[in-house]
Amino acid sequence: MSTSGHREIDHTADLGFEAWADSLPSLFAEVVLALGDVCYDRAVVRPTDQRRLEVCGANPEERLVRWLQEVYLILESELWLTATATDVVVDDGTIEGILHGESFDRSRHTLHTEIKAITYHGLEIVQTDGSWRVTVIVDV
Amino acid sequence: MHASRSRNRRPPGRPSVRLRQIDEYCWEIPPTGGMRVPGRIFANERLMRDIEGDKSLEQVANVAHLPGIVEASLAMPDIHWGYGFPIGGVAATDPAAGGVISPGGVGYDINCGVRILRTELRQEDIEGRVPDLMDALFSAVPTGLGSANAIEPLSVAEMHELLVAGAEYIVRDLGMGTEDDLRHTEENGRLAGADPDQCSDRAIERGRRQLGTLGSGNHFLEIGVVDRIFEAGKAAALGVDAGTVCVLIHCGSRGLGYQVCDDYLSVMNRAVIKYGIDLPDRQLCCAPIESDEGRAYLGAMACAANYAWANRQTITHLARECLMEAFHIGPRDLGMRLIYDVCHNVAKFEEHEIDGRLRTVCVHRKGATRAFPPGDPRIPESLRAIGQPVLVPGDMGRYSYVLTGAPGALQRTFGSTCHGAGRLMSRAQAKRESRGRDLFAEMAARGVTVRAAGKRTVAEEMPYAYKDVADVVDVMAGAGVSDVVFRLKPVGVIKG
Repeated sequence: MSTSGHREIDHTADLGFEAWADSLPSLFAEVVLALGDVCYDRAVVRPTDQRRLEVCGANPEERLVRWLQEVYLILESELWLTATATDVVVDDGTIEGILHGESFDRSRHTLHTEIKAITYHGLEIVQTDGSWRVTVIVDV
Repeated sequence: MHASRSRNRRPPGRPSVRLRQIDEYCWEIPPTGGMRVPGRIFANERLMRDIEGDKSLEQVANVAHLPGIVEASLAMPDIHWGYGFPIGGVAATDPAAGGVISPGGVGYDINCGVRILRTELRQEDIEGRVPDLMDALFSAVPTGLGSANAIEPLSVAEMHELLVAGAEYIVRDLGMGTEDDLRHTEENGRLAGADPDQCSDRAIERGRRQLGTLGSGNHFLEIGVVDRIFEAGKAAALGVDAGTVCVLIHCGSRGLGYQVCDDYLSVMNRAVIKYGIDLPDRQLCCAPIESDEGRAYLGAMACAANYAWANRQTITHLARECLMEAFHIGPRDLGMRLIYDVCHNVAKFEEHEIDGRLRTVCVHRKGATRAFPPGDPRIPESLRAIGQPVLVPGDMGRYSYVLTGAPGALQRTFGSTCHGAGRLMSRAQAKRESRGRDLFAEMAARGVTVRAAGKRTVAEEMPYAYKDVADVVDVMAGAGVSDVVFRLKPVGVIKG
């Protein structure tokens, strides 16, 4: 049974999600899925193409924000939709991984909403009993 | 006279904010702890109950901690929780007194704003034609996630020119619009001090292909019909009467503005440490106006503000072309003239009378709109007799209002007024509410044709998710800040 997952949470003006996983790399893979679910119907996106992604940041929270910013920019600028993320490696100061997805196809894909930013609001990666959790608020 | 009442509100699980009602439409948070000035909230009893439901009052108090803040940390009646600053917040800082500039006091969507255009079309001219018109507008103006290429993408060199010249670039270089459009845009669509070198390459790159696009969320292009006139003389001066068809546009600086904000939040987080600024919330991160960081942000912010005006001007052009084609008429017969364009997310240097003397202060308006009273030299001559107009959009099903600035604005709010209805429900809650319902049919039954890129956006933006904008507007009129001129009923909306 998978111990990772995510869900949307309530926030007055914006949108947010909570994600959890049994390791930090898995958490970074999970937030990519959560962001995808905010922006498009991820269930029908086929993982036919791959993209390698690498970001750096001063602390885990900054790395997470930058990681999601990069994923979002690929979506906004190229309309390339991510289905899953694998091979995530978290090193001191950097994160790298592989995104699997495909280009937007009007006949099959549904887009939901554009986002303005991944915010630092209440952002904290918490580790408890072998489980990693984070809550992310996105400005829409 | 209204009695002064003191009460200590302490909803469960939240720190208390002490509130004192000072008149029928204004509450004050007296300064405590590190607050340099009081907080002041414009509202009525009913709105106040909603406002207390989130953390926005604490945010009003937090803003009062900013170095160099003068008079008060203000909140308009459509206040709700925002990033650091509340949305609906107004704060003026004095550069000569160590005043700061804070990107959180402007928001991610720099110069998000609204414009309203009147036309010669009457309600009967569009009867039975609204669905076709909305289809045409929907294909002319790209909306939603990834929307781009409404016009030819600009080169980096062209972007640099546009970021300095704003809407002027669209009108004079691209030939999309009129000199009259520029005269009826705040700052003539060109904010001084823009410095493209302070924008990251990424910000400029994001802006190249997005001119003339709406984006998503609460942004819209709407066709509305004037359905109530409150001040006939002013309405006539603005070129409308009951039955006039108007076009309303709400959007901002797109990815370029979001990127500028993101880039400078990092800069300001470091600046707070460098300058030893003590803040109750790190989202208020800021730098002295008179510092390298402060000047750099202001230069980039002005670029984003100019991009937003250029964007609304481009959309205006696309909508004009669309309507001329649909009715087989020329520009003169369409008579689509800009009433006014205002920003509601920006920081600007303005002269205000503080403690009996004129001072130049940096007025942050985040989800608040400038609205100067009649006679003010800073508004165009053609409007000076009636005051600066402001469009206050409601939700997409009910109505929107046009107000003008009143003398109370300069005395009480640094010449500012409200910007919209404010959300009542979270987006997730609104989506739950919409399950199993045909929202497009429901809107059609209310007489509003909706076209949208994302169905989920429509669910989040349904009228029941918003407060009644009439309450918000009443407060501004009651407080002597604005006058209500006319109301519009939406008949067609395109959304992202």
